[in-house]
Amino acid sequence: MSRKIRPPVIWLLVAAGLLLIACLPARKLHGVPYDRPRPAPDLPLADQFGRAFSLADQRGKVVAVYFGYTSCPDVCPITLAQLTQVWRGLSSTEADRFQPVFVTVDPERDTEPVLARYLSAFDNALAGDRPRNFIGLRGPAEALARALDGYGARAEKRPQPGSAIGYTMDHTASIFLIDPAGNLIEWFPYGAAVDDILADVRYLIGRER
Amino acid sequence: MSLKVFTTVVALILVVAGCTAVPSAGNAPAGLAISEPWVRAAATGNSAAYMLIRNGGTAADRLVKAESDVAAAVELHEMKMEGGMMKMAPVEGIAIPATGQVELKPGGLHIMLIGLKRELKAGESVKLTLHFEKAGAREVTAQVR
Repeated sequence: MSRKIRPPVIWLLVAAGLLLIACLPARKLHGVPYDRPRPAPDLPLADQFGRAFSLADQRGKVVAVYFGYTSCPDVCPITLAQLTQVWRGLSSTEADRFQPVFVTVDPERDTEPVLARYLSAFDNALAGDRPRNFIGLRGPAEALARALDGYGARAEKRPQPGSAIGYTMDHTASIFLIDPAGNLIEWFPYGAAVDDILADVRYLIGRER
Repeated sequence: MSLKVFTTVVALILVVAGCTAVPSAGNAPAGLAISEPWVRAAATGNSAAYMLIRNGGTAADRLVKAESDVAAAVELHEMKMEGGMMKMAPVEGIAIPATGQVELKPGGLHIMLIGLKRELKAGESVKLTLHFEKAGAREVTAQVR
């Protein structure tokens, strides 16, 4: 009789243990974690100074990727300002291990100089410390489409005939976090709290040590 | 007795009159009141202005146009999040309900400054002229943040 009862109890304990282990790392993250962290898709684009970019060069850093466009007066600057706040919330050593990346979904208007000037307003200039720069990425439509696709993000041009803006871009407004090993770990929806993003960036930096 | 009744009635009338007088006195500017105007700092390109518009009047009004000399064009726009996608589009006007308020705020309705003529730095101020259907033109000085 007791033999019949024991196996299910053991399996229940094993299952509970596995569940606990599975939940442990997820509990530390505040965004939406990926079920299985996978190598972050590369962004085969060029930066705001025309230099070729490779995610592999960012190993050892937590990278935050955001897709947007500089003509966007609201949601994009809000998010970039949040990333600057995250940067400023880190210690000087931690700040060296964080890199926000802005990928323009509007390469037509966002030329290299436009990107450089726009992003200069969001740099992390800690008092008495060397400035750290946002990386702005742009590329031809095909490369951009591949980059968006890799992150499950979308962008769509929407003509606004009655407006001086000419056209707007509908786009995914999430922040994607990549850990120092180059794995895509989680994403934050628009409007996430700075403290939550900061806590996760700090956790992902610390986890690597 | 009748004097007491009389004074009570007079007192009551005064109280009632006082009560009805209070609300209209409380809404000092009987029409529109614009508070906390601010503009987002931007190095180049576009920016947006935000504020709270209260309508103390009993008739609805409508913000139909805005102007500013810091930008090539000024339009009324709205941001919307739909299925994780951020969408922005111009709106015809912004209704200000009677005895109500509308907040122009990040991630929602805003006055868009298109084609900035100069860099907008935090601490500076920007002048805007708002045109309402009924209240007419209103000048607003917005802080750059």
